[in-house]
Amino acid sequence: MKCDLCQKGDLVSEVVPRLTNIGPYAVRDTVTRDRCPACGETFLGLDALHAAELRAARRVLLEGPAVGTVARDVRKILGLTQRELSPLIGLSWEAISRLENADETSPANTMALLLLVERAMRGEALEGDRGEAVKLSRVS
Amino acid sequence: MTSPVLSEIQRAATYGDILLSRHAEERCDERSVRATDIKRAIKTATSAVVQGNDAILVSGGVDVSGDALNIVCQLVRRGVYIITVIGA
Repeated sequence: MKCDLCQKGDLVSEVVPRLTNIGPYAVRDTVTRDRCPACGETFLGLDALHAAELRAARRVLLEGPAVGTVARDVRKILGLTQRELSPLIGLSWEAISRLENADETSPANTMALLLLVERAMRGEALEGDRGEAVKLSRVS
Repeated sequence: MTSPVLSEIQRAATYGDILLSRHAEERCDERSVRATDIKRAIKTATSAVVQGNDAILVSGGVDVSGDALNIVCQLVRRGVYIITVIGA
């Protein structure tokens, strides 16, 4: 495939290391990026970036609690406002705000966010067509 | 009313690919701008002004947190090429 910018070079796919910061954690991973050998420009697809962010979020949530900046960063990676996240994890948006600004959380909150991340990794939409939040299925 | 340039960018971002330059990647990392922030900023943008060298300043949009996020981009064959992101 020719370079989108110079139209001269044939794009080369490269697997490159990438660090994703989530709260105080830096998660090491790789992404595939296209590079033009003619002009030197690089192209990282937003979907590839999003996938790397979701993988990093999952790893962090498996390691520790979703609290403070971790909770905020995971919500942003999911692309949800506090109000949109509220019905998906069964917390008021005020409680989500406190969660993101405090040092305490519960395992249930972490698990709920982890389930959302895994849904997003499977490509499930977390918002309806008109932006309304879709309820999660009850987890038994 | 949405400008034709903004409509074209939003259409290209919806139906094509959104690609980040290395510079845009670095700015995103520095400012904790996520992929979803870029999508939302394009979706909610209100203005697109063509600059020099085919670059287009897309402004008036917000990120997931509701903070202003402007984008300098270029329309390319595959979709939208993000040159850089500019937080408020």
